[in-house]
Amino acid sequence: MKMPTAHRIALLFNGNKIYDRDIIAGIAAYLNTTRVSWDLFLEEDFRCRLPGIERWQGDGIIADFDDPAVCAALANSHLPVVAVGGSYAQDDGYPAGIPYVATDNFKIVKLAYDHLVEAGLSRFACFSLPEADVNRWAQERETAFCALMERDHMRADVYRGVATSAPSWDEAVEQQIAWLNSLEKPVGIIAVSDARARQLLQACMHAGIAVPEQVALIGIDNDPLARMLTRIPLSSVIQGAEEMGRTAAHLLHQMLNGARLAGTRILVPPAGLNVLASTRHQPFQHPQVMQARHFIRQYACQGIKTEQVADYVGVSRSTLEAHFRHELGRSVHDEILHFKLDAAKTLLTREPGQVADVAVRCGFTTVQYMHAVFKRELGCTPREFQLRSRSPQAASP
Amino acid sequence: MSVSSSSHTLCNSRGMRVQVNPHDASLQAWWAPDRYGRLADVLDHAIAKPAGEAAAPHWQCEAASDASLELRLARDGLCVRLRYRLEDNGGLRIDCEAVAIAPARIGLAAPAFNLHGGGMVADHVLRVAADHYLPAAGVTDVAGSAFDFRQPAPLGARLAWPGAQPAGTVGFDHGFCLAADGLLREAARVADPASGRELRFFTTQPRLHLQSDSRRFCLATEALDIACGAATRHTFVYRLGVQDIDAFDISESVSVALNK
Repeated sequence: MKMPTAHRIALLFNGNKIYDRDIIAGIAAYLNTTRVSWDLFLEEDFRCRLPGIERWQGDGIIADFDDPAVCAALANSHLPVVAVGGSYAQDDGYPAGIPYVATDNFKIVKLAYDHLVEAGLSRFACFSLPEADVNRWAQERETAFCALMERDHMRADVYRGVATSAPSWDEAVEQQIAWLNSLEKPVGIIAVSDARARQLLQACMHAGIAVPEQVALIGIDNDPLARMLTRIPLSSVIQGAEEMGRTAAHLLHQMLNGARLAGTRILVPPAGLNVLASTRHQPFQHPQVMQARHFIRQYACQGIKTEQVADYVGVSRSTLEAHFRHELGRSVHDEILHFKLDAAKTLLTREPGQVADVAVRCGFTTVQYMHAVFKRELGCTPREFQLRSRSPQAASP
Repeated sequence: MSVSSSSHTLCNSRGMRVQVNPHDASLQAWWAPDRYGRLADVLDHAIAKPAGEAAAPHWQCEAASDASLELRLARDGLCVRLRYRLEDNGGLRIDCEAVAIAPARIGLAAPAFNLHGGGMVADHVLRVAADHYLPAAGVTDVAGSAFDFRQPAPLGARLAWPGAQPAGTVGFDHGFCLAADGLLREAARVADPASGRELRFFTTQPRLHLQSDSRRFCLATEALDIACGAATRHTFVYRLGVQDIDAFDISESVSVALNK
C-alpha cells in the first residue's frame, strides 16, 4: 500500500512557555486523532533560523505571531501560513491576508475582572508590562481592563513597572511595593500574566501586605511553575491554548487541501478559571484575623503553633483566640489544622506518594496524628482517601 | 403531598431546587449554585421541545415527595412511568419504564440550559464522548471536524470553523453516536467558565442530540423506541455541579448497570 506523502510543516513557537506548549499539544492532538500525516519542523532555537524561512522547502507553517520577528519573517511567505496569537481591539493589529487564531484578550480580562467583583472587591488595578513590541498582548489586556473600568465608571489604575532584569531587580521590587502601598485597600489586581502576578505576590510578601485580604491577585496562563513558586496559591485564568492549537491545525489542514481562508479569524475564549487562595477574598474581616490568616496560609505546613501566629500579629494569644472565635467560629489551632488538612488532601489526590511523606510535607508532627485528624474530619484514613480519590468509580453518578 | 398545582418542586440538602411540571413531564426551573454559592435558574425554555412526537399532557402524578416524583402516562396500549429523583450530589436522575402492546416511540421534553443563568452560551465549553456524529445523512467520524468534542471546546469558537455552520443556521442541531451497550454512561459535559457551573449528562441511550443557539443549549437523547411486550427501561441523569479544573476528563469506566 502506498503511504500518503507527508506534508512538511514548521511550527514556530517558543516551547519553553506553557501557553506555547499547550498550543503545540493541541496541534499534536489534532494530528493524533486524524489521519493527517505531517513531518514537523520544531526547533527550540527557531528564532536564529528565521532569516532563511522564506526559502524553506516545506508545505506550510503555523507560527506565533505575538513575536514580531516571526511576523516580519513570514510577511512575504509563499507557503500557506496560519497565525496564532493574541486578539486585538483594533483590526489593524492583525496581519493582513493570513488566517489568524487568537486568544481572546478581552474575554480573558473580563473573566478575571468578573471574578474579582464576585469575590467582593470594589476597587481594581492592573499590573502590566512596559510597552514593547514583544508583548503587545500585555497592552491589549491593559486596554481591555481600561475599557471595562470605563464601562463601569471607575478609574483605571494601571501600573507597567519596569521589565525585570538582574541588576535592576531590587529597584523593580521597591517600585512595585511603592505602587502597592499607594493603592487604596482592599483592591483586586489583575496581572497580565502569571509571571507578572508572581512578582507582585512576592512584593506583597516583602511589604507585609495580606493576600487576598488587602490585595486579591489573579494572573493569566494557569502556569504550574508560577503556582509552584508562590507560597500563596495563585488564582489564574486558563487560556484555551490547546483548542487554539487544534483550530490552527484544522485551518492549515484545510488550506493544504486547497481551501482559501485568508480572511478567517477565530477568537478562542478562555477555558476556565482556577480559583485558589490569592482571590479567596472575604470582605469585612477583623484586621488582626486577616493578618493571622495571611501568616497561617504561608506557614501552616511548616508546623507553626498558635503562639507564633499571635507573635506575628503582635497581640496576646487570648485576644487573637477571641477574635477568631468571634469572626470564624473556630480557634487559631483549628484554622492551622484546616490548612494542613487541605494541603494533605491536595497532595494525596495529585501524587502517588507515601502517606508518611505527605505528613512531613504538610507539617503534621507524626503520621499517627495525621491519621487521627483524617479519621475525625473525613471518616477515613489518608490511604483510603488517596485510593478513593484516584479510583475511576469516584466519577460515577 | 398534593400535586394538583402546575409544578412540583424537588429539593436536595444543598439547597438545589428543580421544578417539574407534572402535567407534561417537563422541567420548568432548576435553581443551582455557581462557584460562589449563588443560585440561579439554569433552564431556558425557548427551544425546549420534545424530540420526536409531541408529548401530550396526559401525565398523572403517582407519588411525590421533596426528593422524588413519579409520573405515569397511559394511552393507546402504551404505559410509561417516569421517576424523577434529585440527589444530594446535584444529579437529577430520570428513570423511564415503558410497556407497549405494539412498538411505539415516545419523546420526552428535553430541558434547554444556560449555565450562566442568562446571556450567551458561546463560551460554554463542551465535551462529548462520541467518536461519530450524524450529519444530514449517514454517520461520520468526528476526527478532524468541528464536531470532535472528545477534548473540551467552546461552542461558539467551534461554530466559527470553516463550514461548521451552514449559512442560514444558528448553532448546533446534531446527533452523536454514543457507546451502545445499554449501560449508564457519561455522554457529555458542559462547563461555563464564568459561573463555574458544570452540567454532566449520563444516559443509557446510544444517541445524543445537541441543539444550541446563541442563548441556550440542549443535551438530550433522541425519541425512545419501546419494543412490544417486555418492559423497556432507560435512565438519564443531568448532574449540575461546579467545575473541577483538574478533572474535566469524561471517565471511560462503566458507572451503573441498567436494570439493577
